[in-house]
Amino acid sequence: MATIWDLRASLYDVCEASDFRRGPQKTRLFREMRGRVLFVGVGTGIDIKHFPPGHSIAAIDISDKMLRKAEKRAAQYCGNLVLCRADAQNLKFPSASFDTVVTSCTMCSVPDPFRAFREFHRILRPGGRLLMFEHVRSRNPLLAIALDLMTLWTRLSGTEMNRDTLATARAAGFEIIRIETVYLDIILAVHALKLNPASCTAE
Amino acid sequence: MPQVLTQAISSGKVPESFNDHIRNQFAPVTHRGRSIFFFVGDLMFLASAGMATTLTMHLVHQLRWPFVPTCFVGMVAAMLVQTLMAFAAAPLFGSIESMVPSMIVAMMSPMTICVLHLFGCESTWPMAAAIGSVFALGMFVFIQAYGLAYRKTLMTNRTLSGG
Repeated sequence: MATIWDLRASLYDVCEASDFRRGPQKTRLFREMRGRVLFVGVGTGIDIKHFPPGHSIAAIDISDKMLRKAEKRAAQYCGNLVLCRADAQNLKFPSASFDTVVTSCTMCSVPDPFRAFREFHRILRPGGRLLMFEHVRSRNPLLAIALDLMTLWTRLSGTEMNRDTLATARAAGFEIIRIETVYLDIILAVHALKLNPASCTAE
Repeated sequence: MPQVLTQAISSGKVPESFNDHIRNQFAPVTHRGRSIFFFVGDLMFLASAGMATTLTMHLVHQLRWPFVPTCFVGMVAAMLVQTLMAFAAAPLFGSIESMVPSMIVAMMSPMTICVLHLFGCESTWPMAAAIGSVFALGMFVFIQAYGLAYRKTLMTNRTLSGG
């Protein structure tokens, strides 16, 4: 997996250059960051400019090459931002050590999203929040077909366009408290809260 | 943006990252302008993609090959044209935002040329362009209506849940 993202690092900013359209919504979502923050899948750091200043943020990515590219942007952040290499499915942080976990177009690329969500659940403090800026499979059949077809070739580069990320998050023990549409029901800004462990269901 | 902040930024007293943050804070000021830009931009892009893909299929039909290979090659060529156009438009209009609707248009609109051919009606260049535009317009209207309906659903759910 890391190899794919190392290869994609050089073209990542071009391929993910949707910031012009999505930027304001990202800023609005990231404004909800509270306390100690874990940002999962920082990539080349294109989202750093949308972080509210003055936070203590640990930003992780699985690709060393991506992290190297993110260093310059991280240095410009007006707050405490630490970059480190980590796998979202197997986080080395102690349990209940973060107040907010943030993802931005990350859960489409994690091989086992349920496992990653369980990890987020573990490292979040009780009542901790999960903020997701993610694309998911549309509930409209026509749009869903287009996303399924796109997945045939995006899967080769490690990205799945047709995941039901919200259902996976719920199954992992998160309560979705607010959904904002960015583009139809495909790109969503999601606010979720960590439920207590008893309410989780195994997938 | 308040004058005191503008002065602080221009005098270099505020770090660059904070400048971005402040600009983003005041982004809603230009929200209307952005909405209009993306409304017109999406429509123009879809119309271009619809016309280009349908004209591509029409072009392949001009080769006078047997029907099945013509449709197959035409569809492959149309999808290729659509993909390249969507990639080119992605930095401005967003990757998913440009790829998904244009893919549907690029699947349906060129197929119409094949169906017309099947019924003995040979399309012309202007006709192919018109078919592409009509499908694009239809898709654009569908996207707007679906987006509106989804936003309404979210607002209703929020009201019901007291969020």
